Amino acid sequence: MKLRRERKKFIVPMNSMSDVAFLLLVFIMLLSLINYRREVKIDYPEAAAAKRTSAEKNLEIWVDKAGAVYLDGLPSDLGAIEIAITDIYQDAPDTRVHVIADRDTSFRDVNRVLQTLQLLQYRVVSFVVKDE
Amino acid sequence: MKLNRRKRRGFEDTSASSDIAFLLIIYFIVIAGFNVNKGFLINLPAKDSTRLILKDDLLRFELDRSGILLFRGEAMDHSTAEREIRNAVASRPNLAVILTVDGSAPWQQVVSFVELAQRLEVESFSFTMKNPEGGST
Repeated sequence: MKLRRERKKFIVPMNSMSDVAFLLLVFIMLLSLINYRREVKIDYPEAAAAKRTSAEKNLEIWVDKAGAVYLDGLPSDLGAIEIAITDIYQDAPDTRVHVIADRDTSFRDVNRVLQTLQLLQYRVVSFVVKDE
Repeated sequence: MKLNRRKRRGFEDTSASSDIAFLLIIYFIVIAGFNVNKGFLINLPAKDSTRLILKDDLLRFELDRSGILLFRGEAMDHSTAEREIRNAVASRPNLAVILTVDGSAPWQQVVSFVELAQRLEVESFSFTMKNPEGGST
């Protein structure tokens, strides 16, 4: 007599899917955090009455204590900033320029950036500070 | 004819997607929070623009190279400057506050004065850099 063996059904364990998804998300989050924002190590100026000045699109110009200029966290110079602003303005005129300077930066160095913005007729800027 | 009825899915099949949705929401909340900057929004004047202001409506302050605030040549703290500006605004509504900053003055002092001007709602406020020769840019 031939006995018929009952075949076992192949089951994908669905309960572990959430664990896999969770691990994937943690992985993506960590990766994106690493490259999300390049920050220049500066000591922010402080002010008590600061308002939120972020727009949807921002261009961050950093000026460190020694007067070196960074564009979105990368070392740059005023010429490169001029080109970048011109390009950005053509693509998205509502981009807001954030000037982030160290509290001990000489006004001369910040003024150079402001003069470049004025020259480009880029008039609405925000001075970024830290809450006191 | 035998119709195949579609089986309803049980609750256990959809539980993972709600987890994913929840985690995605957390992820977007977290990354949205990173790009928030706080500060002061300033309208820079056009290059070489001029504006006529009556001499009597001008209130001039200076920041020297070490960041000390000067008014009529004398050092002044921010609370006294605040009082001075408040009194001036009360008597002259068209008041324009001008801050002349030495190139070596620290940025923090400029920001503090900008904050003061914004807090007092001074309508006409400008700051310029002092030239080494004594003039302004």
